[in-house]
Amino acid sequence: MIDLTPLSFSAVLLLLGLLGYVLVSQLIGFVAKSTRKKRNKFPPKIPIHLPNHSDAYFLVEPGGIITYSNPTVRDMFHLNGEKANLEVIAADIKPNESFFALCTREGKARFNLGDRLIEGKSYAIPYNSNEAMLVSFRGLDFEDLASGRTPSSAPQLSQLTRKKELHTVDRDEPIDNYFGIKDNGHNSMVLNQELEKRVQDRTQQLRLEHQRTETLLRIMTELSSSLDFERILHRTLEVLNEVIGASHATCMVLQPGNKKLRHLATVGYSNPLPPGGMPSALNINQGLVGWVLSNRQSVLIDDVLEDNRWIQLPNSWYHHRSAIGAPIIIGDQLLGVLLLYYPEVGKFSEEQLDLIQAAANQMAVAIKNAELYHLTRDQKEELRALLNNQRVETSRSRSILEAIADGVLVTDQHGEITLFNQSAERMLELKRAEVIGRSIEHFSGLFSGVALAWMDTINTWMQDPHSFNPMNTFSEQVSLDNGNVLSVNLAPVMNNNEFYGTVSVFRDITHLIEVDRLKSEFVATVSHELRTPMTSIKGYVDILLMGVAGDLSEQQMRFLSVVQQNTERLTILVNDLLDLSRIEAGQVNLSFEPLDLRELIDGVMEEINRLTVAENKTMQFNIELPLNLPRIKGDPERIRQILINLLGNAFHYTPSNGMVNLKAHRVGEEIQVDIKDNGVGIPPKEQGRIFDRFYRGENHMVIATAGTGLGLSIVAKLINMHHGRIWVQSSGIEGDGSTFSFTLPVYDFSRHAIRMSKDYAENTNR
Amino acid sequence: MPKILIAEDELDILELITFTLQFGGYKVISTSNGEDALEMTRKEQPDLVLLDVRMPRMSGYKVCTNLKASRDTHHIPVVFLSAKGQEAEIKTGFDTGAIDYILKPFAPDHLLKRLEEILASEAVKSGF
Repeated sequence: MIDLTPLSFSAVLLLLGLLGYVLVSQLIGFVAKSTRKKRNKFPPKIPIHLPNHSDAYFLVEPGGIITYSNPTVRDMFHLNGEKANLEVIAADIKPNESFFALCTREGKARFNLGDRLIEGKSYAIPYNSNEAMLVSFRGLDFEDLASGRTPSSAPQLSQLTRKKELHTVDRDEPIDNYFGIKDNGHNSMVLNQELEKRVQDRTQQLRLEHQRTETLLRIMTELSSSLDFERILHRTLEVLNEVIGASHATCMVLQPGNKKLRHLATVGYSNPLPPGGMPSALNINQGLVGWVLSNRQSVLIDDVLEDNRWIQLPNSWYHHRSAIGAPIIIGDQLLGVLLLYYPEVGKFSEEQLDLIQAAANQMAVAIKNAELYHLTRDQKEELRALLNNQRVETSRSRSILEAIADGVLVTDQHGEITLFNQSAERMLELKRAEVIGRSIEHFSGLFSGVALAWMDTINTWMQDPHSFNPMNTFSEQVSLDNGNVLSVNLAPVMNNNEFYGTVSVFRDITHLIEVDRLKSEFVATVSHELRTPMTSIKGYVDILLMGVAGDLSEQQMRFLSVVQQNTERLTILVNDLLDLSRIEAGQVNLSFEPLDLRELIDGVMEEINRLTVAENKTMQFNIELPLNLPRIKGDPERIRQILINLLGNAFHYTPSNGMVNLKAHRVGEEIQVDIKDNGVGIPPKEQGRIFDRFYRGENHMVIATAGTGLGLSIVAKLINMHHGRIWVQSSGIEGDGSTFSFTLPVYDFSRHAIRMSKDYAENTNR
Repeated sequence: MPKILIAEDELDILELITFTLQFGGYKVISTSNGEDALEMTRKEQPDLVLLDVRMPRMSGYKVCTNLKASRDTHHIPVVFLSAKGQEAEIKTGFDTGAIDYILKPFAPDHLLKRLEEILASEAVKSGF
């Protein structure tokens, strides 16, 4: 159905174009005629009224019958006062074949009246689809004759019965008015010639106009019966061919880019064109076609073989001689060429050229319209495909949003809920049908606390989208009244500063919270349950070692010391476990402040020195800190913990009399601390795992040292919480030791000063 | 001789603390539940109360809260000695009005040293 539409469309357009052409040409003709008529009433209509004039006029039909005459004729033939019988005149004049031949050939009417030879002028005028001769001669000639002697034919004339009446006309109207020419009195030879020529021209013009109108009407009729655009062109050519009498005709159309021509319709050739036409063998600048295209005018060639514009195709079967070419042109846009041929010389006339150009113009309109139609149709198809793709894309996105396990709530710029997926239904315990299309304000009442803040944020953004600040997104845990906890992330949907609404994505974290709670509870219980027996063990061992409960042998003292050390180890393990659990559960909150690394290290070194004393192991510690080292941003207790851990490791894993160097320097906005020892080192294959929980090296010194395998894991996590990094470098060769490096941010006083003054301003405003 | 009340439901630990404190030169009275601790503090008016947190019949937190709420006992310093080592638990202990929170396991000499400091500062406060 879609395929037929453009064709019928083109057909109708072409039909309308032709109809328009006929109407317009007739209208132009009518206007032209009416203006002429106003001026000189030419040409005469049939029946005619020949005017009273000193010249005699009569009209001779092809059969030799005289049909009309003016009063002067009646005078000449002595029919005065009576209604003249024209056959009486005819009998004298004898308008036979030789009379007509003379009229036609020389424009002279010659006849005998009595013994006098009368000579007048004759004009061919259209009359009842044929030509009649209007004959005029001067009354003077006749007067001469009449004054001499009575014509012998006079009695004859009167004797004849009158079959037709002469029509008289108004005597007042001068002949020059009637024919629109100047009357030079009796010397009107020139006038008559001009008049004659005009009548002839006009006759020919009318005939051609008639033919052209008829042809175009036929084309129109043909076209209205077809729906196929190429067939329309084909039929147009057929009709033209028939009227013009050409043997071959082709309609060639320029291809997109105007580089090539294509035969779209042909007539008279043995092979029919394939659908869609056939490319032309000629380029657009070659031959007759090239001339018509570049000159944009029609051309008539009597013999192509004599014309240098013609290119004879080498393998052509056709022997064209006469040719007519007309550009198919609309406005100033060249669309193609219409060509007609005939195998004989001098077939076509200039008048036919006009008709072909008219037909070419109609074809141009039809082709242009078809082109426009195709363009429109293609664009429509493209748009349809685009829309379809978008629809598919949209529904796909929607399906994804519907299917995901997270709750999704989308509001438009008016706060109306436009999307509320299944998960949202389940989590918020609201039916989709109840919320879609309704304003978010309706549901604020269902919530309290943070959930209410969630709804309020949507409302705030809706009322003032610019209140949104990327640093201030809504990302909260929302406890619902039913006991469920949701993790809500709310964001505005903005595009080029235009607010489209909001999207909330939320996840039910009720069970995660519960798991977290159970975990904390478990850790708390376990640590309590472990500490209680350890309290007894440690307490009693300590008391025994204090000698409070009585003297002990040296061996007893040694054994009890082992118990004490392992109890210590167990205590550290429990504390570390507890610490790690709390860090991992996010239960450790850091309180950041500007810290002087030198002060911290001094404090830590006191503790390390106590360790060296307790373990009776000498170690050289070199601390190198630049004087202008800026303060770092950190939690003092946690930074202490980090330093004790790393320095403690360096001490423990370096043999006695070893060396530990601590250096710090600024790198950009960070302070880098390097702790280098010359101890056992860490083999490269172990380096990737040392920050893992419970990983302990396989070195003998590591095994000999009390440790839990949790220290570095906690350190790494704490540094991470400070937005720093930690890494290790070691060749793994014993004695080369290892270097632990970590970074901590430099405290930015300017930023915090602003925030502090802002807090102060806010507080004082309240 | 300063008098110290110990409330501890673990008998091994109660004996350990008692031994340590007696060794340190204190007069020790003790109980193994919260209610008795509250009652005995009112009657005996010790110089210091050493409380476990988790005890039968009444938690150490509640005992401390009650002691601090009563005119008769609010001046007596309370020290928690507990295996509950989480931040929140320690904070709760201080919030109820305790003067210190010592974590188990403890070193006996460290405990004695700490109590000595507390009693000395209390003595300064009460004008001795």
